[in-house]
Amino acid sequence: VNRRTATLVGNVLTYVALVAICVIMLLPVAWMVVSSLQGSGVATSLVPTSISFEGYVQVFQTTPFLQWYLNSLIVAVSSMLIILVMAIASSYALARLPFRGRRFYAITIVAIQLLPGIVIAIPLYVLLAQLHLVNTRQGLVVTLIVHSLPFAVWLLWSFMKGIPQELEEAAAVDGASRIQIIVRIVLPLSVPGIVTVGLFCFVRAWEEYLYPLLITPSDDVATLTVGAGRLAGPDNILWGQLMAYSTMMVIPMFLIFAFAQRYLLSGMTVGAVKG
Amino acid sequence: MAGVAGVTRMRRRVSFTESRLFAYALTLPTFIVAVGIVLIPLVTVLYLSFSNAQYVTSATFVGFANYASLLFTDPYFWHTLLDTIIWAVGIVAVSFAIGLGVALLLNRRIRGRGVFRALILLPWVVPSVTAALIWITLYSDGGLFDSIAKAIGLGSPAWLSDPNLALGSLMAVAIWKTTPFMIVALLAGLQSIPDELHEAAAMDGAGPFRRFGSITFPMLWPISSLMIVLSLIWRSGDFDIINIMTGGGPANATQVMTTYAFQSTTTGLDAGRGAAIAVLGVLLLVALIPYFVRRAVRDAL
Repeated sequence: VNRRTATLVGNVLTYVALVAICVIMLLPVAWMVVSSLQGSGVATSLVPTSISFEGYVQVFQTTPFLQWYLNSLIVAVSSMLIILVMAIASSYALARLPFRGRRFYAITIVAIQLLPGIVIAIPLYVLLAQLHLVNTRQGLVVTLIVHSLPFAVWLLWSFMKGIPQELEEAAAVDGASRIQIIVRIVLPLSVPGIVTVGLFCFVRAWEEYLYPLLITPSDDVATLTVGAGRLAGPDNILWGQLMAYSTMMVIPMFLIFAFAQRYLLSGMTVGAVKG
Repeated sequence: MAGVAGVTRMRRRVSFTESRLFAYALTLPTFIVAVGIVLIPLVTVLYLSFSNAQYVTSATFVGFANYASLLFTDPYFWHTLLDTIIWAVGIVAVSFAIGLGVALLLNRRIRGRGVFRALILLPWVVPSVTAALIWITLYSDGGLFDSIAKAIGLGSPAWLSDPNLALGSLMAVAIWKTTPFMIVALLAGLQSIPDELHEAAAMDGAGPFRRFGSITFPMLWPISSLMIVLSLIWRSGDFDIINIMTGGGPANATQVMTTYAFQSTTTGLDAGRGAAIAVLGVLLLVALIPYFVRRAVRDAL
């Protein structure tokens, strides 16, 4: 009886602590949504007294929001697709083929992934300026590929290593060519890994701030993150507008999280992943 | 018999060469990105740091002038370096402590564990830029924290414009954003510890604290140390939250190496100096990066 009471008390305390942590974690997000619905002024409470979409209207009236949204979407999707093709090829080679320089290749990829963005951003800006790619979406896509490719290879490689080789060996014995083996066996078995890597690349591109700030500052090619940085000036007291902007920017992330949490979690726990 | 073996051996050698060529073909595109767009810029950044480059204009070699002026005459450099260390170490220490505590709670067999994990993980998917916007309003006059501070009699602290408070206020944002990842990583580590170990220890009469000290913590140490090192590396490169919320101010109170390098390059029109700051920032990580690379590559190859 004593022991059961102890477990019960332990569980109650666990719930209390977990609920408290959840409240702290969710409070800023709840604040964002509530403030976005309180018109243009300053929100002072978490319980909305009335609902107004004025903040949302202001976003569209005062900023090229749709253009920025579209820019973010275009660069995130295109960099993701290019990264996936390159990462699938490299990861397969790392996971299955013996080649000279494999260790050097692996070390380079892991090390690059760890370098702070600022170290690469400054010279990359110089390089893109020489190629006349500053203030173009293509230039930004190049930087986003640089930003996520090493990490994508690292993650997908871990996934592919975990796939048992027996099926491929059996197919090879049956005379299947290497390309056939990759297309018919390796790719279908890697789908969960590919989805995970794709989602991470999309999320990282969507969130990236430093590269677009340097590479695409003009309004016609700027991303949502660059726009957000501009809105955040110290004089901006249009909280409804700020929080409406934030809410709309977060929605794709929350959708991905809601419907693909399984993939994100598996990516986080396979190897060490960007947090 | 010998002939058959010879043919097989030959075929194997052919397919080995072929697969090696195939491997090079597959890895080439990534290699080009790694060498062409990362390693070359890295060399460039080193070169720039020894030059007097303005923005993108031509650079002249100036030796150690940038480094000397940063290390010996710059009034902000050492302060910036110290702030970077406080930023990284402080955030990682707090988020590891909270992360371990919450992971231990989530590892108990309780109902609704998945829901709690999902809710706690939410800040992780909020982009750091968005987090910065949200927390600006939370800290502002009339914002939630301001109201709470007033309600409990703390007056109206200038969270972001008081030089003594600003760095701590920004670190709170980063802690909020990064602790969820720590929790999930540590939880995964906890779940990989076999239950039998705990059961056996409990049978032998070990209490919960004893079990934590002699089973949980040692078994969790490999993933913990990896997470600590990785987080220190990432946090030293943080830029978004600081640049948006304070831009390094007030009076350089929240200046870190990344924002300092960025400002020197852009508004300061001194790419040479900016590059030198970036290089010194990486030198700060000189012990951590090889440690992580060695462990990661050893586990992977």
